[in-house]
Amino acid sequence: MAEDKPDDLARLEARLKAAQEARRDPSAGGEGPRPSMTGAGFALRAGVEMAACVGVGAGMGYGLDLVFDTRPWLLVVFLVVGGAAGIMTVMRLAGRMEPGAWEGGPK
Amino acid sequence: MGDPLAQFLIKPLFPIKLGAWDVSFTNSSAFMVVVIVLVTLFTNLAMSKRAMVPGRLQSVAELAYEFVAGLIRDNVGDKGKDYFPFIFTLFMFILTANVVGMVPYTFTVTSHIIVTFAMAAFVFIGVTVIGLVKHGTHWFSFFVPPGLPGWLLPLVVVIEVISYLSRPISLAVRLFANMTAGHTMLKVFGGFVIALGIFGVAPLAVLVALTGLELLIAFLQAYVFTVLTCLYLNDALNLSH
Repeated sequence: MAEDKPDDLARLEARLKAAQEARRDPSAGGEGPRPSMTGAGFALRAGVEMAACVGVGAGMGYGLDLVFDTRPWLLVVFLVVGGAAGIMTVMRLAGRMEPGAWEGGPK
Repeated sequence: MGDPLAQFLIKPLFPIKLGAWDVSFTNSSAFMVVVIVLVTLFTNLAMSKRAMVPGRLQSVAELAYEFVAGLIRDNVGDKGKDYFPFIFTLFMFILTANVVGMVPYTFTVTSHIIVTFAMAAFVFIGVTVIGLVKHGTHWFSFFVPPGLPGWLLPLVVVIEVISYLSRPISLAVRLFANMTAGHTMLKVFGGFVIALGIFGVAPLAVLVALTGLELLIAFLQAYVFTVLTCLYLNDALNLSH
C-alpha cells in the first residue's frame, strides 16, 4: 500500500501535465487560432453578411451623395462596391480566401 | 386568430418622462431585469458550495464557463483571457434572454433590433478601440492587404472598410431576425391550432417540433454572437500584418 502513493502522485502529475499541454496547444501552434463553426452557423452567417455589406455600401453612397450633392451617382457606385465587399466577406468566410491570398497580386 | 406580431409590442409599465424623452420602464426593460436576475442567481447559487466534486447545478455553471473559455482560447488565444468576463456576460445574457423568451406569455428581449444593435455596436466600438490602443496607427494596416498593386489600393481599401463597417449590422440583424421570425412562426402555427378545430392536431404536432427547433436556434444564435465577438476581438488583438 505504501508504494501505491508515489505511483498515484506520479500518475496525477502526468495527467496534470497533459491537461496543461492541451490547454496551451491552440495558441502555441504555428497555424494560429482557427475559427470553428458548425454548418448551420455558417449557413446563418453567409446570407446576412452579404446583405449587410450591400446595405452599408448603399448607405455610404447615399450619405456621400448628400455631402457632395451628386445624387444618384455615388449611390450607384457604392452599391456595386458594397456588393464586392459582400462577396469578399462571404468568400473569406468560406475559407477560400486565406489571409495572404492577395500575395503575388491577381492572376 | 390573434395578431402574430402583437407579442413584440412594447408596453410601458411605469411611464417616466425625462424632459422631452420617454424613459418609461417597459415590458422590455422588465424582462431584461428578469434575465439579469436569473443569470446572477444561477451563477451565484450554483457556485455557492464550491464543491470539489460538483453537484448538478455547479456542473451546469462549470459547463458554461468551460464553453466560453474554450471559445476564447480557440478563437483568440491566450491574449483573450482578459476579456473573458465581458464575453461570458454577453453569452449568458443573450442565451438567457432567448430561452426566457420561449416561455409562453413572456417577452423576447432579443427580438428588437435596437437591443441587438446596441450590443453589436458596443462590441464593434470596443473592439475598434482595443485595436487602436494596442497597435496605434499601425492598426489601420488592417484595411490594406499585403502585396497589393498600387493602382488597386483605393478600391480595395474602400471594400475593406465597407466590409468592416458591415460587421455590427450583420451581427445585430442576424440575432434579431432569427428571434423575430421564429416567434412569429410559432404564433402563426398556434393560431392555426385554434382555427382548425379538431384538425388542429396537425399544426399542433408541427408546433411541438418548431418549439424544439426554436430552442436550438436560441442557443445557436447566442453561440454565433459570442463566436463572432471572439473573432473580431482576435482581429483587434492579433493583427496579422
